[in-house]
Amino acid sequence: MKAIFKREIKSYFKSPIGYIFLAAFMFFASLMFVFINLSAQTASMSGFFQNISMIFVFVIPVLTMRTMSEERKSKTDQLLLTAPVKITDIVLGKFFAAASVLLIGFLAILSYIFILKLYGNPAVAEIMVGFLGLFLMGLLYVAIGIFMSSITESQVIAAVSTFGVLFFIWFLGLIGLSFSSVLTGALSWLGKALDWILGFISVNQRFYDFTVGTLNFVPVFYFVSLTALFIFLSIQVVEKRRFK
Amino acid sequence: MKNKKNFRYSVNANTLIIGAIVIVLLLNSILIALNDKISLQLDFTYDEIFKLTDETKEIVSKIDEDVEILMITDGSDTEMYSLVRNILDKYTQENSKISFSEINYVKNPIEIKPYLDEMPTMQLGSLILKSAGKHEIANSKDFFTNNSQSNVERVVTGKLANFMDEYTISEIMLTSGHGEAAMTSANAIFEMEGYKTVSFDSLTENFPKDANSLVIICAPQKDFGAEEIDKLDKYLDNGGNVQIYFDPYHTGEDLTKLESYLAEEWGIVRSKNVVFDTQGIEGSQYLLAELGDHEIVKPLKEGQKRVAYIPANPIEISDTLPVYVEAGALLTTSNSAYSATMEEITANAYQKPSDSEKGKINLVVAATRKNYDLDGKETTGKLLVSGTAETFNSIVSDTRFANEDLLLNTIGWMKGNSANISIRAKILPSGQLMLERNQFWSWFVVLVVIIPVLLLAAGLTVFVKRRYK
Repeated sequence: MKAIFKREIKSYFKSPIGYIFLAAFMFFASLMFVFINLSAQTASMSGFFQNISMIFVFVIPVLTMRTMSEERKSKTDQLLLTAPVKITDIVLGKFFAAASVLLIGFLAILSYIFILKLYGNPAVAEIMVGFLGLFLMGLLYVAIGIFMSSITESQVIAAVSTFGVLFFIWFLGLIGLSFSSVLTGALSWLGKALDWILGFISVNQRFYDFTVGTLNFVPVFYFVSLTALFIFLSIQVVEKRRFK
Repeated sequence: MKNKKNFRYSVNANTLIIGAIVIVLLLNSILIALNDKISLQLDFTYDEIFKLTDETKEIVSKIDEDVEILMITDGSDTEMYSLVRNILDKYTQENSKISFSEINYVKNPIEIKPYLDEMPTMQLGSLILKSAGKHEIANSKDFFTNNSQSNVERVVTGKLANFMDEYTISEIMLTSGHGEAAMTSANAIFEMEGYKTVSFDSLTENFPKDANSLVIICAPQKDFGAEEIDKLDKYLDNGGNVQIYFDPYHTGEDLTKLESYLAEEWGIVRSKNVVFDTQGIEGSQYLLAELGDHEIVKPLKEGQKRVAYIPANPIEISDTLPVYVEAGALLTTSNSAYSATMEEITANAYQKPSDSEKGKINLVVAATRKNYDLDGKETTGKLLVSGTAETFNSIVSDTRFANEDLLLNTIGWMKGNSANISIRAKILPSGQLMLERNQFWSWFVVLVVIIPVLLLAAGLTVFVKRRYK
């Protein structure tokens, strides 16, 4: 896994992808920070956190689009699949490499706390919880991106489909769809069940607790378990290909 | 053979995938269900706004009748709803007798119609609390202050307490008929704390019989009659509680009888001078009071809280107090204060008149008087006298100071702290930045332009190097 991880990290910074991702991430995140916090002169970052999830929808596909699909396209996957490495190590190596690039972006935007400290008295513990939630959400998006990349050999399709999935789960939380208000009477159970499913899929709803400075075990488990699930699904997809 | 192997592999792989999905869904469902029962949340907010205070927990644990809380919404999902919902979840987790749901007033107007009369205007986010045929309305306009503070817990707990006999609303009686000032700011706090304020004319009506009540005389402009003074004295003899706030700018008739009563029966003398302190608060109309050694202000002193006042009458304590009377200062000025009449002060262009001495002056005094009836039964009347009403009225809404705490502590002291709710407002996650325009643009250029451009340039360099290698 270590070798795969090193190789992937190097490839991010030996190609423009890593730089483009970081530049886009920093540009959008900073744009939000300067307007939501500095321009409005507020030390609370909850508004920033509530909006930044949108950035992920656009930048994470850039980070993950080539992870698996490029190997397939350039046929290097055949070398990998026949090498004495476990599929799990391959997928985890790629996941941790993408997560590390994301972490670099995160460390950069952590500097916002110091800027707030210069001009006010921000609640640091509260903000750190927000950053933790954001990072967990980022990891889930990376796992989804890797999964989407594993099912196609086209980088463009991988990026577009990742964007589609991320946009869908982000948008669900925004529109506040409620089936229980439509399905009433004998179908009220169905309405409630559909609402539960929608609430479950909506990442923004799970992320909310972090944005207000509370660390809830339920969303932490949600992000970690879904990240693990998508990594597992990616492993299964690659495993299937090796078997074939 | 190969097909069979493929089939077996597919079955195994699909079973694994479905199993993993089911396990993830199941574990998440269990945790979500568990979270409805017990709090799995750690509160890192500055003032722990999502954590119930011990006082609330105590009250909530005593609820043994079902309580239904309904939040009026318009179907949208705002930050306010989420915040209130999050806090109310803690109540339902604390006691299963409490349930919480939301009601869309657009779709179910009939359901909330019976309660609309009790709301001056329909406020979204307001709560209807129902229990055992009774109901309470918590208006969302009381949930948040202009200073980014949350009163959600305070209001909800107060309303829940109203369903319980031991926390039934205590009355605060405000005298009328002497040109008393309105206690607008204090009234808002009384309401939140679950107190009911009642105005009564002490000339035509009797003082309350309940010794656990509280009577406030706020900035009277006319004197009290002998009969009223007699009723006041008897009320205090029976263990009553009275707070008298004087108006330092009072220009009406002298309050001779009231002042004489205080001086003779309680050893408390109101001076007609006005206190000025040369150690004011920079950039503020308020002056900073020093806290005395009385038990009422002890928690404020320990919490290093500040209490503000505006020019007040000095309140002196006689050297020889009447028998059974004990008195002490709650608030004093600093050592740099002086007192003089308004005429002297204006004649000296607000400078200290040469004949007045600087020193510490009492602003608010609290006293107790023991009384024994023929059977030897002891009762203690409690009296508080302030040289200005504003310390307990307009300044209580200024959250920079602990005047609100002082007011509630004086009431708690008078009522022996029995079954009072004293949950304070909590600071919401916010805070102001002091950033100048040029500093904003500097950060804009660094964060939004320079850093992303540098990163892009690095990417471009790598790209070019690779291409022409």
